[in-house]
Formats: sequence, structure tokens, C-alpha cells
Amino acid sequence: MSDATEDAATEELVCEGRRERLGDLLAFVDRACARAALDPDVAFDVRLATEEAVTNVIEHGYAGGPAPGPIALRFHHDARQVVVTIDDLAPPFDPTAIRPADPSAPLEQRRIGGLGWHFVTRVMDDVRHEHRHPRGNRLTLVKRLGATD
Amino acid sequence: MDIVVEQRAPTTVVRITGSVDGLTADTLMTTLQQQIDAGNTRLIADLSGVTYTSSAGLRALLATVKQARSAGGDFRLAGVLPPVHKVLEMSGFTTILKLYPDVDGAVASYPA
Repeated sequence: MSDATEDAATEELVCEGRRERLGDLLAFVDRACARAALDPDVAFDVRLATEEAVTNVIEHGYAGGPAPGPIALRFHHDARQVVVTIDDLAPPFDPTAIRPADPSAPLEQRRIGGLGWHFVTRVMDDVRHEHRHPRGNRLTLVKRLGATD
Repeated sequence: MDIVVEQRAPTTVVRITGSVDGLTADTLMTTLQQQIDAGNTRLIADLSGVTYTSSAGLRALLATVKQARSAGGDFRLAGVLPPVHKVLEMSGFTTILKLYPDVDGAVASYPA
């Protein structure tokens, strides 16, 4: 077994994609970051991106459906990177359709919509979205360790 | 998250401790809204004990500053820690909210 494999760890939580489960999802990522002994700044970014991404699934992906479907939240950590994967069975999500937040807008025109996705793309080093077959989405969030902001 | 409200004439200081996220932001929003409804529109949030915020927390801050200003007051932040400052900066909130290093400075910024 290589050193990289010995240092690597993957954990997964599967739960219903409803607002009441947000606490479990955040506690899962907090515990995983603590077990991985991540630098506090890295743990902050991973938690922020995860909260914004799972909130997006709960509030938009599963909104309007008869009942919320599952969220599978996976946390992988090795010597080089942290990879958070979020799988859902929601209708196809198109990140390019999100109206971007405007951080320079005056107060009267400020809105929060779009800000969460803005944070995801700002704090993570790589953000990938895939449509899953036959349905659902996979969002992969990568934070490289040792990378500077 | 814990919230303590303290009157420090001519202002109201809301001291927040912990994480302001999707689990706690509604409680914060309600507390701040109650102060504005009670006529306490010169508001200060002491964020020196806040270690984390997300867009859910910013939603509460944005709603509060809009309401406070339309009621003739303001909503100012004190003691923002570096990680929370980063989130405020990424969202451009540092240009619409007034920030002070500590509560004393924020209290002094309001006319007596």
C-alpha cells in the first residue's frame, strides 16, 4: 500500500434532501474536516462550499417536487486534496444558468440569490458538474492542499 | 449560535457568538427585526465571536441594513474576524456596510 493510499480517507453520508437535515450534513463535513486535521482556513472554505451546494439542492433542486429525494455527500481526503462530492436525484441543474451575483451593486439592488454559487466557485480550486444517468446531478468540489487563495 | 442584546446609548449592540449559517440565520434575522420594530434602529452587530458565516447569514445582514436605513438608522459591524471578513469581501458587503475594529468604535460612530 502506498503512502498516499494509507493517508487517504473517504466518508459518506446519505440523507433526505430536506432543510431539517442541513444540520446533519454540516456536522458530517465538520467532523470529516476535523478528522482530516485540515488547516482552519481550508476547513472554512470546504464547509462554506458544501453548505452552499447542499442548500442549493434542498432549496432549488428538490423544490417543486412531490417529496425531497436523497443527497449523498462524500468527503475524500488525501495528502494532495480534499474532494467533496454531492449526488442528488433532482432535475438537471445548469450552473451556467445561475444569474451571477453582482458584488458591486448598490444596496437597493442587492440580492442574495446567486451569492451561494459565487462562493462555491471562489473558495474551491475546481468545481465540476455532471448530469447522472438516468437522472440526477453530481457536483464535485476540489480543494487542493497547499494551494494559496 | 448565541445572541445577547445590550443597550448602549444611543445604540443597540447585538453580540453574536458561534456560526451564522443556514441553521441559525433565521433566529438572527428575527432578533434583529424585533429590535428595529421596537424602534432601536441604531444597531451594531458585535461579530468578534462569530467564526463562520454563509450566504444565509448575509441574507440576515442585508435585510437588517435595508430596514434600519429606511427607518432612519443604520446597522454597523464591529470586530469582524478574518474568515468572516473574507466572506463579506467576496460578496462586496464591505462596501455597503460600515465596519469598525471594536464595539466602542462602532458606538462612537453614531451621533450622541
